[in-house]
Amino acid sequence: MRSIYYLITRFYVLILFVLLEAFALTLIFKSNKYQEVRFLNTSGAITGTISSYVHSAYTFIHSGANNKLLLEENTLLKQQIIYQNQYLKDSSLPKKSSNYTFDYIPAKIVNNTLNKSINYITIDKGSIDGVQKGYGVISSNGVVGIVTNVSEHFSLLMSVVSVKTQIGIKHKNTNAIGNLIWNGEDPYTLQVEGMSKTLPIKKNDTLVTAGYSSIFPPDITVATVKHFEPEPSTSFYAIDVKLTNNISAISYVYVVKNYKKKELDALERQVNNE
Amino acid sequence: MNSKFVINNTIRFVLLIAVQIMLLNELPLGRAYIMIYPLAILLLPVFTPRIVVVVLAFFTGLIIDIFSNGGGLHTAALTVVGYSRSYILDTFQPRSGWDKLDVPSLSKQGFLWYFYYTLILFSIHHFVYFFLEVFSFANFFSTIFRVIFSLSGSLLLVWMISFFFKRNTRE
Repeated sequence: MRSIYYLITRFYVLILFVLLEAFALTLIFKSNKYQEVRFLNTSGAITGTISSYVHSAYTFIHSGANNKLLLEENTLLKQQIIYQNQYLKDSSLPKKSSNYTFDYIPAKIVNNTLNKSINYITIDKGSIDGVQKGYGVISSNGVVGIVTNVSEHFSLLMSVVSVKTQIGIKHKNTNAIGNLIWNGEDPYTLQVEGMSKTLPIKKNDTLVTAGYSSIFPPDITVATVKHFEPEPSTSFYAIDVKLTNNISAISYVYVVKNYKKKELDALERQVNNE
Repeated sequence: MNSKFVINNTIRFVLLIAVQIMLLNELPLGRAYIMIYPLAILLLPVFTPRIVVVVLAFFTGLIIDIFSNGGGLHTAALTVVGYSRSYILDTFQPRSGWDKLDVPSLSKQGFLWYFYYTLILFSIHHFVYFFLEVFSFANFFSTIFRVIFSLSGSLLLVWMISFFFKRNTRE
């Protein structure tokens, strides 16, 4: 008993240090295991609000470029409306098709990082606005990430520039599918795996979302080919790509809500279980 | 005298945390990540009880983690710094030993001492942070490069800040 007392009085700093360090390591382990930040994140009510104030200055700095993007998008939408109006008048096709299952929730970025292996982005829309875990997020000219945590008014997404994300894409010209991944080195250069060596891939070719998963709608422009070479040991190309959106400077994004997500996920789970 | 220490250190903590969250976390530097908040722990008075240093380091790391989605990385790294600080101070003490009111600062101890002191503790911090982040020694050299780039950035900024405040106190 006396020796235990002696030990505690002698080494209490070390004991406390080990306890605190163990706590911190548990946090890291947990967020690694579940691919999400459990306790410490900026999607909480207080931290989210403070972060949004801090980030508003940053949004202001980039407002010029953002305005230009929004303007371009507006023009494009207007053109589409004109086109669709004509199209609908000209033909008697059904107004609803299987493609119309996606809905978009506009949101503003509150916090954004690019210097980690797993980068998180906070946006100012939460469960009240209809955001749910697993939804995809896109910007006007590319993909941004996937929602991992949702609170009432904010949600946290894992950015495309993270070593753990994997997004199904296809080569626009040939429709060949592959996976968009990141090797964790240069945040402005991502990699594509699974593209066969037989494909006629060229520099500056466009890659779009495959749309096979329920997360992103099909045919959204994702990236352009920056550099490619055949991998010696496999039958695939090693492709470096550049994202079409500048992920460090975007401020406005859209959360993709898929009305048929539940049905699709349930069906796929059923297949996997069998 | 005591209350002046407390006020000075509180202001320093708040300022360093604010600069880290508002400015340095937003810098688009690619894979380098400049972190200067460990300075708040480094500049605590020499005779701050060790247990206070460890607890302060833990909570400072926790605050930084919450505001930068760190998931515990900053907490783990800074707690190690808080614990090892007293050993570094013991090893590097002046020939006559530490004085009751000494502060491990640039103006009190001179540049060479301050250089080694910050270099060692910031290295410990950055090593722990970046290796815990990738969680393996797999891409050892690319991680080492990240440590070196980030460390040189952090230290340059820390020395610039220290020189700036040194001149101010003399006037």
